[in-house]
Amino acid sequence: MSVALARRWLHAPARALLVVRSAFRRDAAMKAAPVIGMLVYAWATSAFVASSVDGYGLTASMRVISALPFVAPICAACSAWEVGRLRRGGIYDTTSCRSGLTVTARQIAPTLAIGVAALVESAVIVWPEVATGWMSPEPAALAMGLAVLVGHVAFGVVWGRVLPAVVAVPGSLVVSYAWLVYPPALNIPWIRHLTGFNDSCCLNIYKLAPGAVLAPIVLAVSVTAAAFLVLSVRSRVLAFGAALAVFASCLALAVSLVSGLGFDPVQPRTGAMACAGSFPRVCVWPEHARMLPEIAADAGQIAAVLSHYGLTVPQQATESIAPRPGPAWVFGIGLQDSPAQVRAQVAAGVAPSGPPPCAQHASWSAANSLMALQAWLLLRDGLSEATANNWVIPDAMAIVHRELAKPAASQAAWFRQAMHAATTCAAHSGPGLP
Amino acid sequence: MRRTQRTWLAVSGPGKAGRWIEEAAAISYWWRSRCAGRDLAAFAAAQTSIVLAGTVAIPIPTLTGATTPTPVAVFAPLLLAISVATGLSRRLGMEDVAVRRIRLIDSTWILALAVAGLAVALVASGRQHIGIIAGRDMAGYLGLTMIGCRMLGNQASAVLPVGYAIVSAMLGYNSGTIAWWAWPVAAPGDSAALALALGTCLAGLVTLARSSAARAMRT
Repeated sequence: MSVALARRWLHAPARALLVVRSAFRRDAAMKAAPVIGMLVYAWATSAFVASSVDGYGLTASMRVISALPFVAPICAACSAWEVGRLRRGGIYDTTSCRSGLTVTARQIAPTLAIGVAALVESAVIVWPEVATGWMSPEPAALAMGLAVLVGHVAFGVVWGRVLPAVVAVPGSLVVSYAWLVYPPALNIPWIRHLTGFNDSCCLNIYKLAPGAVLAPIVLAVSVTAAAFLVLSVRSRVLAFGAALAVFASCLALAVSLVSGLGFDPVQPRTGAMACAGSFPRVCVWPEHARMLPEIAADAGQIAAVLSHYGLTVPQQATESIAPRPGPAWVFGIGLQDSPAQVRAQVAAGVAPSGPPPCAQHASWSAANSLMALQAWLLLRDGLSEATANNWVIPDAMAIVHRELAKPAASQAAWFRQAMHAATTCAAHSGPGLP
Repeated sequence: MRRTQRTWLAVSGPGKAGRWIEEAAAISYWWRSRCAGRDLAAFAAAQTSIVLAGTVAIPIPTLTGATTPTPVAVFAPLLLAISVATGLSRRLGMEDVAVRRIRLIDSTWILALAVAGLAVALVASGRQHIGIIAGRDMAGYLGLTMIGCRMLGNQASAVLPVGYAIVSAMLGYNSGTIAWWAWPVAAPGDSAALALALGTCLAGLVTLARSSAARAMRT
């Protein structure tokens, strides 16, 4: 090894130290990093973030990226500051050996790295808090979070390139923050799905609608493309015209992706389930697999009750709300539920959980019948009256007590009639029906 | 020397009238160098948004997990703070040794904006509690902008009021109560918050009156 090479190797750590020290001295993101780190820590350790995750990877992933309002605006402001420095230094107006795009990319790389590190910090804190065993993250949600972060950094770049730093830094901070937190305040349901921030998503019976994932990514790509154009095209008019055209067309595309969605950008969850038994076949989501033997025993017990009364036993008891042919037996459980709560959920799941779809367009007046059905199932399953009282109103309990005094055949007839009333929108009348 | 300046000096001559004309010319230069007209436009825009938004509130996620509605009146005055910061960023180092007390003119102008903000917000908003929030926050943000000039330099001065407003909205609410330091999001009847905001404005004015433009340029 030559002396020069050895000297070079010996000096490498010192050079690296110089680069790091220089970055810490001059880089806005490095100065903001402790603030971002503390905000993310405070958010990720709050009780809200760890609540209601129920071992579901998508919910946990959405909670990880819910730190974005505390990260993305600061990163946007930092990138605006860095680009503002280049602008003040006349970098974009002079002839240089490296393009403005290259210089900018190197300048904002620490900002982007700090933003990604903040999301990693959020994941490192949130995951052990909510995981109850192996829990696979949702790549689409994490990709959306990263894309949104990049989009906000690019947004800061555009502001820093166009406006003086004194306006660009606070302006990008406020606008970026408002874009993330203000849309949920609006009564327009779809507009909130453009931002990529949704801290209440999702119950484990749902998955994110593809449009809600794609729309923020499309917008982030459009802002990044706009920043690319503003930095690389010499003619200002041409650059802004092209940037505006790209952003407008991507905005139109993003709006078309989410315009059909309601307040919650979800659709019924599909995918592999853990199943046991044959009649009824009991299926739960993978995160509830360890509760399967207990649930299968509860389902077998209520199936025996139904058979005793000569009632139809649905072939499958499941957590999935995806539509399927035949009578539905859908229940919802949580990892924190007690055995009595699980048993009650499984038993009551034989009856519908709410009004039928036709109730959105036609009148449906079988709410009491529905609750009476649930109470009848709970009591016949051997659960206490106090448990049943927690599920239903006193009017429904009165109906059930009246029916329980009758012979088995009469109770079965009432059950079929009440089930028909609860699942259709036709006018009904009969014993014990409203 | 610009043509207008030569004209002013030519017509001023000796005597009291001449001195007044010179002063008017100086103020005219100051007005243009600070783009004070933009401050007036920002002032009008802030007041208009306060009146239009009324009681509309932004549900901001807080670090406790709760979402707290914060009135638009908390954020609208930031427009004026950013505009004033832009004006202050145009200060020159040579102003430190100027004959005229330019820092005093700056301070007086910002004080006038703060007082006018409080008065107009109270009268024009039509909703007294929103008006008090807007006026109080406008004064406080202007104070923070002036302190920001000293702490962070001319170019980053507006980060202080903007950051303080956002941090107050995120961290100021704690299980139904508002932290003593979070005056931007405090209730309109909170006299301690009002005193803190006005104290911040006063501290900012003193800081600006004693600050060095040359140093703020270097920061």
